Amino acid sequence: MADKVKVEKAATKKLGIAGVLSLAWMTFVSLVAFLAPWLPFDDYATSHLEALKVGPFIAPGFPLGGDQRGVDMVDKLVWGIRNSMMVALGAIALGFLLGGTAGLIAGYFKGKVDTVITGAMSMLLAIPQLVLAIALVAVLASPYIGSDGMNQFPSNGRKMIVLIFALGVVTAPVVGRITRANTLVWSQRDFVLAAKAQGAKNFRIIFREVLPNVAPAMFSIALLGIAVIMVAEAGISFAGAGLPADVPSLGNIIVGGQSLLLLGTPHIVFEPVIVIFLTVTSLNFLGDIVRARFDVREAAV
Amino acid sequence: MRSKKTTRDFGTDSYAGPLLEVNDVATHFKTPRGLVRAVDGVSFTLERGKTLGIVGESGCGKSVLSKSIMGLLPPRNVVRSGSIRYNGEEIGSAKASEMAGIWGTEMSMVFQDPMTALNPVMKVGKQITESLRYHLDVSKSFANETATELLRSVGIPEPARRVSQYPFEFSGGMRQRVMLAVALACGPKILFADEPTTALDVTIQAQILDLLDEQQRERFMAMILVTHDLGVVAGRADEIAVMYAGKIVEKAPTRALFSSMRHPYTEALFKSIPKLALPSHSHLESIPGRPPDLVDPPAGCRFAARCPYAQPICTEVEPPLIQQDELAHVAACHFPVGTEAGNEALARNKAAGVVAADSKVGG
Amino acid sequence: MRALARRLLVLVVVVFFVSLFTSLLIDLTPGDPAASVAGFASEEQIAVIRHDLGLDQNVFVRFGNWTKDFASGDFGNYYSVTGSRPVWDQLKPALPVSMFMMVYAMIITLVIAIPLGVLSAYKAGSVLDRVINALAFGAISLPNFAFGLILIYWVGVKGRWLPVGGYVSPSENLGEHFRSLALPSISLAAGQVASYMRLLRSDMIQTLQEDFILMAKAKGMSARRILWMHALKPSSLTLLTVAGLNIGALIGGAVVLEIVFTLPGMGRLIVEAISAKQYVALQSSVALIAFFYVGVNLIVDVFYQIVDPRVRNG
Repeated sequence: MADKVKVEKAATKKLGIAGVLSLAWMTFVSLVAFLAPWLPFDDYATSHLEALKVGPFIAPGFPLGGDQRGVDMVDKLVWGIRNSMMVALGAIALGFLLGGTAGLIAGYFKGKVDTVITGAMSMLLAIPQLVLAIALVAVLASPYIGSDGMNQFPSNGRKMIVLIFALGVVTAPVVGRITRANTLVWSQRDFVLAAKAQGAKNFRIIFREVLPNVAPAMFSIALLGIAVIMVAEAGISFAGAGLPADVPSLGNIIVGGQSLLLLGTPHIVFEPVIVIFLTVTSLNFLGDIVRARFDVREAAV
Repeated sequence: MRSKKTTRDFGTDSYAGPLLEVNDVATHFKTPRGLVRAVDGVSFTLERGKTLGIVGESGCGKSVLSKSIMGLLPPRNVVRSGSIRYNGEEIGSAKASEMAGIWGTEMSMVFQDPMTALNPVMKVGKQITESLRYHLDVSKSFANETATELLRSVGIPEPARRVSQYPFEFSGGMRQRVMLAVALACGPKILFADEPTTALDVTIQAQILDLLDEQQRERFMAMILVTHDLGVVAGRADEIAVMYAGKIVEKAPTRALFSSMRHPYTEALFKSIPKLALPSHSHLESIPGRPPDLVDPPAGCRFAARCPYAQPICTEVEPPLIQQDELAHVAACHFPVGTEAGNEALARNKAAGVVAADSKVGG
Repeated sequence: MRALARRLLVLVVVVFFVSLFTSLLIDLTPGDPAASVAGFASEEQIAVIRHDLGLDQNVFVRFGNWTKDFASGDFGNYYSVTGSRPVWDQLKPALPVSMFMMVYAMIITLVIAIPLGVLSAYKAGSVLDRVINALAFGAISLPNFAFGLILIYWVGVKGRWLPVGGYVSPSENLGEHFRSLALPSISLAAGQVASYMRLLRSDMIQTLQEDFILMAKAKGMSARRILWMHALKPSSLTLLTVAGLNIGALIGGAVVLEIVFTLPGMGRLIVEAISAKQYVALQSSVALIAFFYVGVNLIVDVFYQIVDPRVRNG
């Protein structure tokens, strides 16, 4: 018992109060996002007349108030967090799959392969990322006029996938550059050279020797990346290219609440803003801790 | 805006006493491990135009001492005590704002590494003129001419062209000359030269030392020459202070020190100088052991653990700095080198197979 | 010089691929792009537009024509029920709005971030430093649109001190011009201030430990002079690096904030193009932004060479 207390105390000391709070908030948000379908929340389409445009802590049973259609803000935020998290996690996974692989290959093999991959990443980085993401989403998930002459709207599923794809594509070169820089450093280390000299296969070396060492840097980038992507999702919503209003995300809740903000009812906007702010702060903080813990070098970009 | 001179004027030559009087100066650093006694009670005086050599191994506190006298140490986590009188005025506890009237114009410093001590993104001319313009309020053209003249006098060829170059365009030795010009710009009365030749090639070292000598004579400037190499100060200093573990262990006029050194540490340092007369590859004696931990210095003589003369008393009673046979020659040793007591102690240790207080031969 | 030549070569390649990519964006749309762009139109009208967009030709011919047109200042047409008009007619008034906003944000950023960075580096570890740092950490975590919305509510809606939307050109009324861009520019600058300040601080702390700083002190230079004349210039390289890295975020932020503050800039143009399915206008806007971005990065590079004498002469 006494031992356990000690261990916990040590962990607390290393993380600091802010670190513990960050971890707690991220755990809470993740649980909400994962478990939303099984938690006793209403569908975000259910309107309650008594909650119509009501601010937080006014109507009983609606602690966060209701939106312009009388939807309970708690319900809306829960589903918004879930959808935003799905987009962010999906995009970061794709970004790592593409960028991480490219970065490892470029940094390990160097030479021509490196030139080509680095060149491709520079291309992707030549368009400001948010603008590129907006453009990609806009063209890939646009309504179009079908052969029957009628408007065809992309399904919500397609919109979500396109959004994840676009954000993943713009994340990839950033992840790629950092992975490449770290791989360059690690693949020069003695143990890697020794493995090479012993005739180990390249891919075995990459996965067994290089990847585990590059992983901490990638992990801290992933934390920051999730934060950046959540913010980008909101930016895309502002541009009118985000998820449709019937699929709430933190971004489109804010966009939808803007007109009420101008009329003096700010909670619809500020509640998701606070969620985004807390999440981004926590992720930034945890990212810093990971970087400090593993002594991650700033990528030499 | 232009009246940057402080109200205190240190330039008075009417004061008849020594230029610099350092009395029982201590400088301690607060660290997580405890108080590091980097300088622990040092006293000396420096007359106008004279040179004091401060010699010791790295970590003995000699660099800290010169920075401490100039008041250049950051205020945080530093505890200074003792008295420092410049031209009769107490400056030991002066604030940085008060010292600004002394820095550059009264005291100046040449640092060890010319690669890092010059601003890499400022033209060397500007690095010279800025203090001229700042302290002496001279016109820009006059400052520029002075800068060129200074570069010429420290032996930089084509000074008029070189003033508008950046430090990276100079070689190491040339940079050290530039740094000297920067330090000398406002005609200081004391120059602190902190290992001015350590970072340089051996061939360049002598040139720079000669240049220091020459500038010092021309300007009638006092100098404190800090070095780990007894050979550097041999022909140049008027007086030499040997420092060990934050304290002066021996101080004497240069000639007296070399003719009759009294402290075993001085002797050990002397034996470690490479001598031109000896064939190359001849054995140089290094001093066994390491300097003591300055957080918790040992009782008695701090050198005892490494001293071939050490006797039981050395680890118990700290020897005071006492006058030796010549005036102005002081040493802190119970068994001074070359004395009867010293010879006896050495012989006794040799007979017992003891090299130093804490080590035996082969043990 | 060789580094610069290499950089220019890379630039040409990048511009080529960016052009190729944006000129082919329209092919990524589902369905018939001509029909989408035309909206509900007759078969003949769609055919005309299809030819207009070059969709009846192969990709390479289309790319060649697009490049030629773009280089000669023909950014394509904006099609609507009332007929087509050049995209340039919309770009022309939109460009200065975005430019003014970014320039003002940049000025605000530098004016606030540099003194704060220098001050907190000089006072590193002090209470003041910690407060500044905590604020900066918060500012970095607050997206600029969130900052904008907070300002809209407290300054615009509650306080009614400044307009929360709309744009006044400087030739119309200079005072109103500044007022109309005040909140957007501040919102855009907030995060930038924090990131510039944090990097300048950590860089300055290192610079302040250099020997040449001690040397300047030993020369009797005042603390103020040492900070501004000796320590800041080496760190200005860091500022330039941050500037280069942050321009993308600046542009992205400007796009979003124009929408938040209903300013008729490039961002607004993109939103309108997307909602009206005007892919030509979208392509041209994206291409312009990309070229601007690439161009500014080149300028930053050139500045880098000028500021650092070692790079300049090396």
